[in-house]
Amino acid sequence: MAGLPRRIIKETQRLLAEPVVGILAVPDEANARYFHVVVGGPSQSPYEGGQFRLELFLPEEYPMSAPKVRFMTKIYHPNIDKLGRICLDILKDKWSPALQIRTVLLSIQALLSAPNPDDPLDNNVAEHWKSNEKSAIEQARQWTQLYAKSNTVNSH
Amino acid sequence: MASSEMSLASEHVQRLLQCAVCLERFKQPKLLPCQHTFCLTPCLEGLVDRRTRSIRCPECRADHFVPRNGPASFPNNLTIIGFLELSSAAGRAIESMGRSEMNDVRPLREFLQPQRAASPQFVPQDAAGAEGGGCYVCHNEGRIIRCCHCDQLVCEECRHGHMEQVRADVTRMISQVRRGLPQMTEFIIAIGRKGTQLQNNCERVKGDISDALEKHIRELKARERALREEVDTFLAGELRNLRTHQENAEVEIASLASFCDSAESVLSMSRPIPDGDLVEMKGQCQEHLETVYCYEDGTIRPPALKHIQATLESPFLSSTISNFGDLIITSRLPQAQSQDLSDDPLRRTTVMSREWTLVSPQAEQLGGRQGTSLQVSPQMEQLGSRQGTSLQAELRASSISPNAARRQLSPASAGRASQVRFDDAEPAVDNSRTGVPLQSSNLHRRSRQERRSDTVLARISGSRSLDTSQQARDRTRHLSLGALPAATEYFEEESPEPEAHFPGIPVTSRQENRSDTNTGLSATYPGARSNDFLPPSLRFSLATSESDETSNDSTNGLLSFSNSNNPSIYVNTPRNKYNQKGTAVLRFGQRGSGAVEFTWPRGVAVSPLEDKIYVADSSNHRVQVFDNTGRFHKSFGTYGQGDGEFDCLAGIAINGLGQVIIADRYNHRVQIFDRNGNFQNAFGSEGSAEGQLNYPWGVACDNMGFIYVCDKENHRVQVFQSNGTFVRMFGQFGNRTGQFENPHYIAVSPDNKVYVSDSSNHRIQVFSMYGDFLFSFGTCGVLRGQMKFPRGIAVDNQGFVVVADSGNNRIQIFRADGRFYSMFGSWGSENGHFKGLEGLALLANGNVVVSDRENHRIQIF
Repeated sequence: MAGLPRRIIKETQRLLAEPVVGILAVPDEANARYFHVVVGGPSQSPYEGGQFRLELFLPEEYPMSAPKVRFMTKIYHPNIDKLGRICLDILKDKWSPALQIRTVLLSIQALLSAPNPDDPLDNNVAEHWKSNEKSAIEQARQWTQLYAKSNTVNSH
Repeated sequence: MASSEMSLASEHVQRLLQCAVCLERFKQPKLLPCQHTFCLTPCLEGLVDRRTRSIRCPECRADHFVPRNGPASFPNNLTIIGFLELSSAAGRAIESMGRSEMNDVRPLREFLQPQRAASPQFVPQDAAGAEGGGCYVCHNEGRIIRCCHCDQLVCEECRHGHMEQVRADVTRMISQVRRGLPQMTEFIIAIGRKGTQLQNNCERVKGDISDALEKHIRELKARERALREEVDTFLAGELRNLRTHQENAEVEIASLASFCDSAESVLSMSRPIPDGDLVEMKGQCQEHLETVYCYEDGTIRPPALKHIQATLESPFLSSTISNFGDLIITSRLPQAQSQDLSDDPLRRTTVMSREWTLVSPQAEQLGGRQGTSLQVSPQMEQLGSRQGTSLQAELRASSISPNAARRQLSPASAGRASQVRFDDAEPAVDNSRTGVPLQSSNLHRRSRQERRSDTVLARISGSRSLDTSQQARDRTRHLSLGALPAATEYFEEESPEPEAHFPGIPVTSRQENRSDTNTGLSATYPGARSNDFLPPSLRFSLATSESDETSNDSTNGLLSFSNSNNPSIYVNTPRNKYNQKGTAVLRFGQRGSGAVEFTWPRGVAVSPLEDKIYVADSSNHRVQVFDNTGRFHKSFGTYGQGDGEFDCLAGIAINGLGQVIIADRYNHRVQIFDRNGNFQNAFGSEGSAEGQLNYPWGVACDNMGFIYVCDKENHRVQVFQSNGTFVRMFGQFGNRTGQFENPHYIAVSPDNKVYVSDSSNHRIQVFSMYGDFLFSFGTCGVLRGQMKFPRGIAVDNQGFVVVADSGNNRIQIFRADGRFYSMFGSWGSENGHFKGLEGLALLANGNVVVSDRENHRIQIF
């Protein structure tokens, strides 16, 4: 271990001691920079009731550089592609060292509540969302039932 | 419950005192223009975009321009600092939550207490409600018991559920603790690795010791052989000479005998002898008779017996051997010491690091091994007892002494260690080829002995005055305080594998190409006033060093240093917390002429006897005295040229007897007052001869009562006895070593080194008390360790040097060897700001008294 920075240790402890509501993040046994995350689908969204698995990795320069997050559960969302990559500004150019793991995960949860088809990662999904929002939402709900229900958690 | 509310509140406060980047309590909180605050290191410094010199605020993403001195020049968030000091005690309990897993599990209670809005069990409520009716949680009127965990009245089910939660938490914490165990194993392994490294290092050092000493043994043997051969040669020559004389005499005898025989035979013959023959024979007989008489009465003597003896005594050599080599032991400063780069010389960045060149010509011959220019004294115990700790050893002049010894031992140069002398009574004998030519220079050297006792030269010259090895060792201690040949010390933390060398131990292999003999030697042979006793090779390199000295300011540094008298070299934390200074604890004074008012205060001094502050109130032409809390005590002096009158006094100092020594600048003299302010003595007049002054500025006293005066316009330092008798002076105008341009202030360290702020050369020069240049540090600039127009200077009792960097409006603190330690201050009129720094002095408790000239006030830090 390169000697984990204190900030990471502090964040981890706090995450374990005071978890964010609806989000579970535990570090991997072997690698303290790798987190297994489960985000519950926010209520009032088509992802409600689903448990989405993510992986989160803290690179070497963290907190000066953003953590790397990826969805492991298939999800129908205009800002998340089929590989699970997330299009979120704070994970890229709008990252700030004042943000933490918990805020990142909360932002992702908020992204689920509020998809933004104008800045898409996957054009097809975005098209669908813009042209026929209702049916897109319905599809999202179906995928949630299919892939994100707790007893059938699939990964990519 | 009241206490949980309070603990909540204080916890919120603690959260506010946390830096958002490192998630810990603010260290050196700096306020960005957008009003957000972050720690200086490592948080802010890691955020600076060097290319664009800008910083983006992590909270609001506003872009700010970073000033040239880096994020350190953002203002401190004084509010946060105040809160930090306030709540440091209370905060410690909560801070321990954030420590690494190796801590105890005590914070269990804190972890569990106030949180989880989701779970209804722990909503804090009024104390009043709890006692009244029912379970604290579900308000059942059922069976109520007091929960032993959080001391509430709860019913059975709630308690059960609560305890289940506690169990789950315990399990979780256990796994946390377990997760931390590998790190402890790492720790153990790291220590083991260090042990191995240490062993390797010691093995290597022992090997080097053996090699070095073997080499000297070989040299000694060679010398022995040479001397014996000389004796043999001498013997052969003399025997030949004697033999010749013998043979001559034999021939003589033979001829005389044969003459006698032939004469007798002629005489005994009955034949008549012609008269002429007879006369001729008689004449010959006369001659022969005279010859025989010569032999008889001593006119012809056997050649005088030459006596050869060897002087093999050399106390110098013995003392050299006994002092040969030393160990220098340093330790890496621990990582967690402080976040401030400035007080950890090992972590200095490349930009600001300076390489101290320590040259040992020795080391080159050792084959340039890494980290091996150590020389070891076989008398480690002696060192230990002398120093009082077994760890503090010195790298000393001994690195040049074996050199000197070798030079002495080599047959080519004067073998003074063992001299072959020829005693003979005959006047016309040729001098030995070795003995005489040195005689004059021996005497020459000896007369300089006393002057240069502090320098390396004492070792090379005059072995005659070192009659005991103890004396030699004392000299050595002095020597080690002085100039030394140089080796390189690297201050980079990421130096190539730690096994290569200890930091702090000279690594000379990198130096082979550099003409390191030059710069080191310019420091070694101070002033270099006469080169004639330097071996030709060194003489040459010294000459070249003079030319590149002005350009090569990075190698002006000193070199290794005796640690015995100088804690500032090796301590990690000085007694005076210099790196926490920055805010004045006391400020007093304003412009004016009344009490506690100044008009351009200049020099300050602290009386060692009474801890009172003496301020040279320059344009009020008086001295004001305050106690160490800033309360006015008295003042004395008026304008004028008479006794007890001043004209723009500048420097002030107080000697061990309490006498006040004042540089009366425009009167070009020094006045001495007793501790009550009564005039005692004055000396000096305007001029540039010995004993004359030209705008004298700073003054200082050493512990023997000598007065050192910065003779500013004469660009020199003069030394007087306490009664005003001129003793010596040194320095001249210029920017080379040992030269000054406008020397302003001066201070004498506890180990009798004289620090002069060579103001217009933007450096501090350090001399022995006899005026021999030792080293200098400082260059013109604004970076750490650089200065512009240094003025006031003071040395504390650990050896740290405090310098008033007047051109940069800041105070810098250096270790005694010139390495930068810390600094504080900026331009302005607020607390901790300066306009026109002048004199500096140190109180007994280590606080720094600063005269802030253009603000007409005194600040104490």
